[in-house]
Amino acid sequence: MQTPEAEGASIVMIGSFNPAIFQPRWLGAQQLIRAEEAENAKITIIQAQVADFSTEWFQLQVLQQRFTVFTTDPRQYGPLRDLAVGMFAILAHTPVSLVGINRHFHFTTPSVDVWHKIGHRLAPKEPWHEIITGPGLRSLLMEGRRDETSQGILRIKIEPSLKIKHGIYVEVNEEFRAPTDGPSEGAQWVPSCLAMQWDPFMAFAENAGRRILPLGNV
Amino acid sequence: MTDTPPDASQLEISVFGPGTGECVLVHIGDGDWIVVDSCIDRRTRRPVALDYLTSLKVDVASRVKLVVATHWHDDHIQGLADILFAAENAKFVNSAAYDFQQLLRLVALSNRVASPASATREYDRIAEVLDHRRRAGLKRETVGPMAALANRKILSLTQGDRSVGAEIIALSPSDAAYYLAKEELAAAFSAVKGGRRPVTQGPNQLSIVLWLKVGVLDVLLGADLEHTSEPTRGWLAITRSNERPTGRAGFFKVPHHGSQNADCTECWTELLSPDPIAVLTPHAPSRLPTPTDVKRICVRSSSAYSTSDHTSYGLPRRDNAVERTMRGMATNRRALAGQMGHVRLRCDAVSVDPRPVVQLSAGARQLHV
Amino acid sequence: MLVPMSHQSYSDAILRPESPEARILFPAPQDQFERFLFRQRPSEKVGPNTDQITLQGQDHANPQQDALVRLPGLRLSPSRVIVLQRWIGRVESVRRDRFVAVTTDATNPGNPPEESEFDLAEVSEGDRALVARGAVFYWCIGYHDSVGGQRERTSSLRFVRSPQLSEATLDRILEQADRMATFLQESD
Repeated sequence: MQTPEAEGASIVMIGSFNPAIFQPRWLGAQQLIRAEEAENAKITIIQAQVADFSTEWFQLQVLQQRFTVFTTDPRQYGPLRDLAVGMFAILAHTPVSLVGINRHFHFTTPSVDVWHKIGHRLAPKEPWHEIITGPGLRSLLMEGRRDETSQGILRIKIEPSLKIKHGIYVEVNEEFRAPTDGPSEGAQWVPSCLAMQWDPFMAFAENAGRRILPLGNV
Repeated sequence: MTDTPPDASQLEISVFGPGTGECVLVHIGDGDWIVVDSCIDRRTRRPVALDYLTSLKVDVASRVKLVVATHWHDDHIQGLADILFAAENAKFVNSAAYDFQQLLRLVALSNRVASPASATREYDRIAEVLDHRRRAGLKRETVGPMAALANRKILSLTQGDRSVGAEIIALSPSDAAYYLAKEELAAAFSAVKGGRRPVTQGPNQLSIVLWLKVGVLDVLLGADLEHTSEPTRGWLAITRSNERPTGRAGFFKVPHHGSQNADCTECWTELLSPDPIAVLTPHAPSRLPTPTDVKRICVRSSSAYSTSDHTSYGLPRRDNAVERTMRGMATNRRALAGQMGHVRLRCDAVSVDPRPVVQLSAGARQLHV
Repeated sequence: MLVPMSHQSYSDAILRPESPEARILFPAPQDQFERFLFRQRPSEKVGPNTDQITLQGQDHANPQQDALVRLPGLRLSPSRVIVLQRWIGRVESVRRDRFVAVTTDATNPGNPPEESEFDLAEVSEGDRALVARGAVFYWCIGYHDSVGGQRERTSSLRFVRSPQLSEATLDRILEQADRMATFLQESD
């Protein structure tokens, strides 16, 4: 895959959270991060409705109904997964109804022509010429599944990059719901879901990125 | 090596191994197969058993009768869940020594912590496949898990309506080995609780050794069973059993990569024909077999083969920046696997003169003194 | 043809926590936006760091005087890391100042596993206590481009950390496993 100019990954959960728990000190005490990382974390806010802090390699933001842990350091994708697994193995009673794994990339393109070709290939403009003047692709969202046996719903979004002139932004997301059979109480299903789905998803997301850029070569 | 399937009355034994991991496929006549253990072909990233059976145009869903996990370690069951999933009519067999409940507890705990071992992930998926089939109404007697124990018959296909009859009997583990399994699982549990992957320790006296009678031929698949002087465990528990099958096997899957620890003279004198064909899979992490092991096996067999040569694995070449950095960080590097090797034996299972034909492909080679 | 995005849409800027449609996609617009999250009474204390806003008490909102509190969005790192190669390693043995590990190539899974020796000094101090037989680690080699554009080659080891589960959590996990085992072992 062409090296992206920027990339990141995140895990987002929808449920019912107590933001005040999610403190660097707590993560350090649970040995989910190094003691030094806990001591030197930069806290934005920790309070009953919202918690937000960051370390050298991840940012954690927890609202009462939404949990997000995020990194832009590709060396830390595995540790990010482990951190989420660890937190919710401990907080097994926390109600979590949805888990989303996300990966995003900002790619450069060799030329503005290639940039336009990608947009034109993904969203041919001919049908639009009679409807609007100067149609252009602003955002494309596709939904499907990773493969026939996948349990999650997969979405891929492609947009012009906001970071890079004539760049392409690719975002891949897979969303898993709490199972209706088997252990679903609280967050009990979350660690095994992340353990089983993370690696195949990450490989899929890289492959998706690899396949989109060559569309501009046609 | 041809990709035509064996004839209905032919025995085929295919042994695969790349240097870490092994898989044995046996055609037991009339298009029926069993799969013993599993390893992944790194090129295709699929279980080698599925790749091979597909190349022979075998209908895996209906023709694979047994899927056997001789023991639960990493290098024996990689990809086994995929095989079980595809083999819709197969029964799953595991070692009776491992309390299934304790094994599932280990699996459940392992999969709740970060970076679970591939063996526990595999077993989790195996349990999922079994669970799905049971919930669909299939009985345990059909899908498994069937616990293999010394002298227990695990498959019997009578000749009446077949070209060849086939019977498969487990020769191990013995009753006396149960406490070893308990200790092993307890140690694994402790490791997982401490955030580490379970690492196998100590001699293996728990894996399933299989005796196959296909037509007039006998086959001994030695798994990883090791030898001990204690007569109620290991190979002596088999050779000295009054209930084991009579007969002498002409084909021997040498146990535990040909190691001295698994060598039992009585096995060769009591269970095997005078000049059997012997096949082993190497284990590069332990540097097995050693030259001494090879000599010992060659002397006792009419011909001996290995699926791979663990002394010749090359390190892959990577980007220059990566290579330079690796050299600064990691020393004494060696590759632990090579190309997937395949040793295939086919012979007539109904004739007194079976005329075995051995073919080798990819990394497999004949062993010489 | 792609249209340059000259402005962001604020349609998702107001997060409605109670909404069942709360989107899980991240990031909703690409660039991080500041979110208007909750109401704060102007009289509430504001910390010395303008990024840190602490609320004293949880009084209900006064609609006459409320202001919306703006929380910083998710922050992108200004530097860039390019990973050239990743492995997952498992420690096989530990000696006084070295350890032996088996590494699996996570970048090219077709490559064989390797055995290598590492110096314990390469392990971050905060991870040294984790180095034991069976411990798992990530090893990445690549480049780090700083904010100022300085490129450096990097090699980092990070050991996997697992949660210390409470007895109650352990019991629950084991109970579920027991139920599965009982079901699978039942004869019909």
